[in-house]
Amino acid sequence: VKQHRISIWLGAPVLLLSVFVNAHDPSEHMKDSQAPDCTAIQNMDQSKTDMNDPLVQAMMQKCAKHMHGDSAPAAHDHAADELPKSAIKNPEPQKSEHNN
Amino acid sequence: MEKANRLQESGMTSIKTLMLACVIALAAGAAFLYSGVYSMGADVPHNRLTHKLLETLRERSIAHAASSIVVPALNKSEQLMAGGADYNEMCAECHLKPGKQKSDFTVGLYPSPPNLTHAYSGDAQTEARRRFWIIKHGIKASGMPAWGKTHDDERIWNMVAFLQRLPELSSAQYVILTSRDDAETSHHH
Repeated sequence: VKQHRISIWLGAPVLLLSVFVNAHDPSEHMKDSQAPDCTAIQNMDQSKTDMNDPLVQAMMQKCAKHMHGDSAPAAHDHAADELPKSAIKNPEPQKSEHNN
Repeated sequence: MEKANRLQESGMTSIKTLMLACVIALAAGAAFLYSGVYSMGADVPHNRLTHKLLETLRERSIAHAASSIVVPALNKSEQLMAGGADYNEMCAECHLKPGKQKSDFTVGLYPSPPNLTHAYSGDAQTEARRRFWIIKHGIKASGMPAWGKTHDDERIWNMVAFLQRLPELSSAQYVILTSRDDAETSHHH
């Protein structure tokens, strides 16, 4: 009986701890992630695209991955050719103070 | 000699009065503390004085603690992709996303979490340091968790990089940037 009590006292905190560990697993939040609609960027102004902008590159890579699966290449190759040249509201390159 | 004694007595009286005032103030403070009359409900805002004191304490503390943080380069597309997915899963419910003006958390939490889709004014480096520190260490009694206990610095900087560009994003762009594919999902697990 004493051993049973000890196992309860030890088991309860361990069980509680495991609940918190699971809560921090990103998979718990995956329901919030939507599939990207890459056609949405086709309607944007193509003359205002800066292909050197990391934001444009990031969106190109995201769409390339979703279009071609995990074997998607980098943003500057054929994936970029298939996607529209405009993908951003503000085409200005990132502020220089970010590069230190 | 008599004059000096009078001055000494007067000084002692002043000190005694001051000490008595301190004791009374402490007793009044303790009585207020233990009375339970101050509302701790999140639906009743602090009075102006308490709000100002707590806000000053918070901002000065963060500025002091974050002042020595060295900000890395935050202009890589990989950082935006990784930070975006994490932001969407960990932060967007409280700090919102393009096209969303409020949530149950922004309405119910006190203090209300800042809307990070709005552009910030001020120095980018200072803001980056501040955001990194807040994400890593959290803020006491605000609902902001210390993500640094379960996430490494690189992952937190990715979120900071994403936050710098978040105000520029449309809803569609946000969805593209914050989506997580299967490979990323398995990588994070």
